[in-house]
Amino acid sequence: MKVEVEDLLGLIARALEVRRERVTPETRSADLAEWDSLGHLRICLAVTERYGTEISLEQIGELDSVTALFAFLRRSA
Amino acid sequence: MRSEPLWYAGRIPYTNRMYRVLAERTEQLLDAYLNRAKKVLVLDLDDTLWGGILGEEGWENIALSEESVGKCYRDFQKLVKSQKRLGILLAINSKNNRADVEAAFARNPMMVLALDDFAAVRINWQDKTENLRELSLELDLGLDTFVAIDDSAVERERMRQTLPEVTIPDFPPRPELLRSWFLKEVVYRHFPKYQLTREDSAKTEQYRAQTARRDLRAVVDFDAFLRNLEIDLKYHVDSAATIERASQLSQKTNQFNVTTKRYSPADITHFVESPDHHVVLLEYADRFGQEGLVGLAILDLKASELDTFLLSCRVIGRGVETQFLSKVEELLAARGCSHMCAWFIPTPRNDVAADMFERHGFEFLIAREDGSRVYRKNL
Repeated sequence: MKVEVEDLLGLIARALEVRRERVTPETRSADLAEWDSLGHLRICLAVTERYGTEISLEQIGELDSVTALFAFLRRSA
Repeated sequence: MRSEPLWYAGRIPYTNRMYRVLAERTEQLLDAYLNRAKKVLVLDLDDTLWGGILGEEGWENIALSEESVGKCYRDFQKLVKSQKRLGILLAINSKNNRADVEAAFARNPMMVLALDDFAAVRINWQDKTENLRELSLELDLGLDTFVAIDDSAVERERMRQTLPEVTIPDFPPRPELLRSWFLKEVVYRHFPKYQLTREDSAKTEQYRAQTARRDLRAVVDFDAFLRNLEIDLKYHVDSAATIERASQLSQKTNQFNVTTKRYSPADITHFVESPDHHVVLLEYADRFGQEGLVGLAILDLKASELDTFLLSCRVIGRGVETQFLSKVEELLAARGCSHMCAWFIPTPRNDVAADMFERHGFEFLIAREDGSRVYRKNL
């Protein structure tokens, strides 16, 4: 499945329950108070469901920015 | 459905899709627990319980078999029959000749359902919405407890517009979908079951006995009618075995219910265990059959107050409340109460119980702003 940046940004905003404009391609977890450890798991749950790719335990820790998530989805798509 | 990485990362055992399924099932169970479930399943016949038009094709030629299209309808009938066993009341609303339908049920060997499985039947050529109104009167149940199944979009639309209280699900486009559609869109959604009580399974027989009782009433005067019924009442006080049913009665009874307070099984357990309360269940039988546990009274012994007093609509109009109330008075007196206070809280549906206390020698004390009235009687 082809991954669109816009699509991923929307998914992250919904998972964190923040306004869409607050998530940009440059956003890292450290930039958003809502992107805490629980928020991060919600993003991983949503990504797993939306793109049908399972994220390994090791990767869960590493995918802490939009760039990293996008690169991961590109690789696994 | 399971997600191992997320389990180790954050003790999250399932994927989001699983949580959605769990949420949906939980909601259905809650609906059942709070008794928001419907009570009556009204069925059309042609192209619903069997394939084809009975009046045109004859009872030998309708599609109902163990193969192909006929099996879709036969399997559907089996599911409907299982709902009846779970306490759902079945009814027929069909434009057909009564004699044709009787022949089909009696003679087609592939028929799963029998005419006797239906608590009430309307087979005629009048408007189906009129039939629904009559079914509601005959069964003594509100139209908001009805789910009507009909394959005709025109009939569905007409019923929806005229009787918005009735739930009318869309019908599947092809017979092979009947089974899965019925389970998903009708059973799980409108007839969820939390726990089955014995009264549920015997319901159709009770409603049929009701009709027999009514026929008797028509020919004799009221007192003679009551004597003729040979009513036999039993009482269960603070019995753990009746908690489930007590809660169910408090949740479901809308008409003969003086305070319409809703209680969960946990609430009832609390009253049963409390030394300051009595929970009294009324068990009814007469010469036409058993009705089971059909009345509930909850007494606050400390306040000398009648917290709850209700009768299932199945036994309204037989003077049962008079005897039940005497039992309540007896229990209060036994605990040294010199008087009893009682409330009538009016709702859009409990008018039938409005004069209950005046009729039984209570003194009217005050009416409050919300319309509720307080009564008192010396014991």
